[in-house]
Amino acid sequence: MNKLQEKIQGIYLQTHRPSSLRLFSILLYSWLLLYLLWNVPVHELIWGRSSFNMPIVAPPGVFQNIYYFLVYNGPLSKWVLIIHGIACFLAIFRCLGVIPRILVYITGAMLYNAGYLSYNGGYILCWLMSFYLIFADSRGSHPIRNVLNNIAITACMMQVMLVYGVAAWLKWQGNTWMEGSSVYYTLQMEHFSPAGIGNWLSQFYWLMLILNYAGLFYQSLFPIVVLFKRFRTWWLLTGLGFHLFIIIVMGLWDFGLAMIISYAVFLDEEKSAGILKKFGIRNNQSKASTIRSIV
Amino acid sequence: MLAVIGVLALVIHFVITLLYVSSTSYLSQISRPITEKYMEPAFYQGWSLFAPDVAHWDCKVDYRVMRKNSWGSWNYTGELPNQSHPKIQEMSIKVGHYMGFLLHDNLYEENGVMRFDRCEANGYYRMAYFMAIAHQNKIDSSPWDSLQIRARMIFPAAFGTKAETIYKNYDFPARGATQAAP
Repeated sequence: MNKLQEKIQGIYLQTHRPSSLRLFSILLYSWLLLYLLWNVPVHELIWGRSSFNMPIVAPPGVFQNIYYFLVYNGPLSKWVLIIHGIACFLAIFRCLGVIPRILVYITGAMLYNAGYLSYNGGYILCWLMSFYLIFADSRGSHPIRNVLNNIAITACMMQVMLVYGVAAWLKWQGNTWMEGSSVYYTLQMEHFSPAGIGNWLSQFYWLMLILNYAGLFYQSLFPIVVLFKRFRTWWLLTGLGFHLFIIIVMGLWDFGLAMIISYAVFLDEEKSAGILKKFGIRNNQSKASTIRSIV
Repeated sequence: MLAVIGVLALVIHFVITLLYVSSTSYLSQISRPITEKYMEPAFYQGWSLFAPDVAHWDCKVDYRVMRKNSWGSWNYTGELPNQSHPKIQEMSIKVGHYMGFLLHDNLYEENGVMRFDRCEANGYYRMAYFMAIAHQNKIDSSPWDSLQIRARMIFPAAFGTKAETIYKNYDFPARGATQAAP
């Protein structure tokens, strides 16, 4: 009972991993900004007048229609893009408090709903985590701030674990994953073998089997293994390799990078602080919070 | 107190999320009307990620238009003549992916004739039709009389075999410019 009480007290007494939170939010908003810039040259085809995306029927209601605003207002897309970009930039540098973070999430939803064909799971993950980060600001020391920070970082961790867990659970129900042919068939698709490396690799029967089962087991075990501090670093490094394969061989840089970025929420405080220091980024968490945590 | 509320909110949020995303489970299906209301559009997500099965084919969406009783050449929706960006192909690939499953699940034969009516009644066909019109407007906006969609299917050798790759085209019935997509 005392332990539970201590745990609950710990939630508001201090922000547990301020540097991890800071590093993660910088990476996440940078990814969203980069993704936006990547789409700008074809914004007319994604959201504008000549959009390739058939408008989806938005449900009635004022609240829902904020999210679907761009579906029926394509010509305004450039303004939403500008707001989204500026908000991402401000959120990276923690300017103007919570406003840019809210704007990133809302405009992010507008962009997704109007241009759904050009998005994949990587964007959805970053967009969802941008919602959790609305509540986080690692500078604070007030108990309410600490609670929100700790809840936000836990939500981000749970979201990543859920992605792996659900993907694995659904895969266990599929024939191609069970017989070991999934990677082979994926690499046979021209889009997932852009440089032809994948297509070349797919001739090696055993390699395809190994990659199939390794991927399946990695995803299945991720939500459990990542909880153990002892294995975490090695597990994340394995995941890094897994996602680099997706980036290089399958050409899915956006999805692969989003998953790699999400690993930052699992990093130890010391490692995150070290990375931030290396890039000259200060995470000015208040002294009061540090003192309180020591006491 | 605040900490307890926060933890409770987090637990409830992820329980609903889990119910929503585990779409094949019984619990997920019976709770769908409630979970959908909470999750869409604010927390929309789906994590199939090549699950449960990877398609055994590659499908590309082509189309052609008729002007003055003469059909033009087939155009691939994933490429534009004066614009090159991976996103153009990505959007087309996604529609092609849906079309592949659409044909797999709905195409049937009657008296030796391929029937596309079930496919045409599906939203994914409308998506392809819409994309084809947008693509055509981009390369030549002059009026056309009819538009026809083609699903270009590529079936690779089955895993572990050295069979030949099979290429097969499925041409949907042409639709007039005045006809809206079904």
